[in-house]
Amino acid sequence: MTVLSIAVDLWRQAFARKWFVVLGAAVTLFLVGIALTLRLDVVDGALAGLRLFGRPTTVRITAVDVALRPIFKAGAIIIFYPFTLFLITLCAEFAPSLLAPGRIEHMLSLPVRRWELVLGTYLGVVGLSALFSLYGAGGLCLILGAKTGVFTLRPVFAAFLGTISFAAVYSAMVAAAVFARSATSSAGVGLALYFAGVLAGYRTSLASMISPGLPRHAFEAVTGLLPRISALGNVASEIAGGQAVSATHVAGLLAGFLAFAGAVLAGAVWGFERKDF
Amino acid sequence: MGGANRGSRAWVWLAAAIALLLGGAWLMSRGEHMPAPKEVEVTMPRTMSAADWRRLSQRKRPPAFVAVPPANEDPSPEPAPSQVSDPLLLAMPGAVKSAAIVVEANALRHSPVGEMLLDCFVGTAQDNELSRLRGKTGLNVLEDLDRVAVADETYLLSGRFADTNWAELFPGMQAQTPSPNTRLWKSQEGGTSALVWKNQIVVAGRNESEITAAADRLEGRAPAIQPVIAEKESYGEVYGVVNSAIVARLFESERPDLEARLKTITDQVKLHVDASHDVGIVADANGNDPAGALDLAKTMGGALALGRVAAQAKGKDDLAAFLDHANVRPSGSGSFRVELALPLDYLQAQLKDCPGRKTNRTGASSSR
Repeated sequence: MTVLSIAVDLWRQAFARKWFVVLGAAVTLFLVGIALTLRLDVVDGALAGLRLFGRPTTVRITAVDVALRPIFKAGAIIIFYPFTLFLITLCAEFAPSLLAPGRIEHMLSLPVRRWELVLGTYLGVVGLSALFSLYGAGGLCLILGAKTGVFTLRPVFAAFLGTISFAAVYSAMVAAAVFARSATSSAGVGLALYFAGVLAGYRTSLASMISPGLPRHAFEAVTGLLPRISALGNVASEIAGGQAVSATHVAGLLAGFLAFAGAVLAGAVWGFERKDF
Repeated sequence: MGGANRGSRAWVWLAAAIALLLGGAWLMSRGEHMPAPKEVEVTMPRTMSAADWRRLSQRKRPPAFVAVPPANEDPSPEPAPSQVSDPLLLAMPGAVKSAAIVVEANALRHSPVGEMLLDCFVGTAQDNELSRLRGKTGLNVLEDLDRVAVADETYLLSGRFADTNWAELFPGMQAQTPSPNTRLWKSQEGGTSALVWKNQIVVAGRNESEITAAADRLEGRAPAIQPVIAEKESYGEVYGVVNSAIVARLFESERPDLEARLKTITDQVKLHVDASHDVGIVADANGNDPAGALDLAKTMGGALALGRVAAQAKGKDDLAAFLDHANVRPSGSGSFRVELALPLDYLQAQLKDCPGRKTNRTGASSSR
């Protein structure tokens, strides 16, 4: 309950900031724009014509869900990569502000345990990420579903995977804030982990380019611990694009991401418990 | 005391962090090597490829006989470029009532689909029949035959027939030699006739005048005409033109509305099939009613989409996957193109219980 109150408090702070209002307004504008400017001509379940801003566009007449696959795939990639990068920079300040002198002393004087503070802040930010990505993906599904009659939850699931990926990155940002108490280092660690995670997704092919022996083993050992962000990104894009994926592999990746986030958060709590304020 | 408690709790968090980190690494290593989804490699035969041009240029021959020019004109020692043609296409008429289709038999036989189909015949009665034919006439249908074509009721074959014993192949037929390059085999009761040109082309059918006309075109005796299948259309493993009324019959029972509109809006359908890997089928329907053609294209696209939904609903995932690649492209000028793909996996699944494969499997398991 305390964790939830902290998360809700963080949401209140977030929506008081103009950047989050801008983000919300941008996603809403995008969805309204799609709803108003895109005209789809559907005949017996096939996309027979498309008009964007009133201009007819030549299309291949094909089944609606097949025709929409590239759009959903592009949506999943946008949520997974640029949107996550944007969130990393936007959310970098939350955890350091929690530990700001004056505020932390006040928080610790309340009947709140230290791990609850860390977890509440973490869940609050991850919840914000989930809210925006699910709002964008869900809105797109609803609008295109209403226009074509074909409803699918695949892009929403892809957005959920994007949130899991951000959750792993943000755990490291919280840990960085605990140890360094700086928004810059929090953002720096988040970006570094994000790009390292993208590389880790291709670790097998990259390892073959490194000279055998210690360097290759070191690369494999380090990247073996990191979340495979690009691998999960590819899965999200395949799911959004209607391709079949192996449930066992997806479950393995998801559990691994959550375990990584749990490990880094536990590390952050360990550091937090050892600090005197 | 509180500090000591916090200190011991802290080490629990650290231990949990290490355990989770290692557990996470193990879990991710299980999930990172996801099998890549199998890509369907469909080459849609939309235009002549470099390989098709090469194949065509290797086939082009000057006519066997060029009419002697009048005395006041210079004799031309070399035939003009327009006279150098693919003999099989040259032998075809300028127009057909129902269909003119060419099957690249040799290319198809050596394609993955061909190998698969051939497997179905191994050890069957048809296979034995082919072996008998080879022993008796010297004709190895699977290797000597290059192309098989049909133009209405006339059949045309091209290939390497130098070793073929025609008398054995056409028993009971009388041979005539109308020109040094041709032999005409006629049945005594006036039924089927067959013409063999330079041991490269065979033209057979019931209409002797069609066969003689084909010989005249091959020998350069007839005025030059544009064959029903232009050389630039000779791409893919199967190509040709079909009267739209014939295509419309495919929809007769399921979609009579579509049948009627196809007949009225389009004149003919050009067909190209590529079987170099997965099978790609392109059909170009031509007509002269742009609005009607666009409307028909939309209806056909809808019919394909509905077929796909029906296949999904019936749990026919293979068929639904095949229809994933189906699309219709209207041109806006009275024509439209329908594209279909037939993945090899789908064909493999359909042919897994064909007689030859069953025999092979039984043979293999009994030999084991």
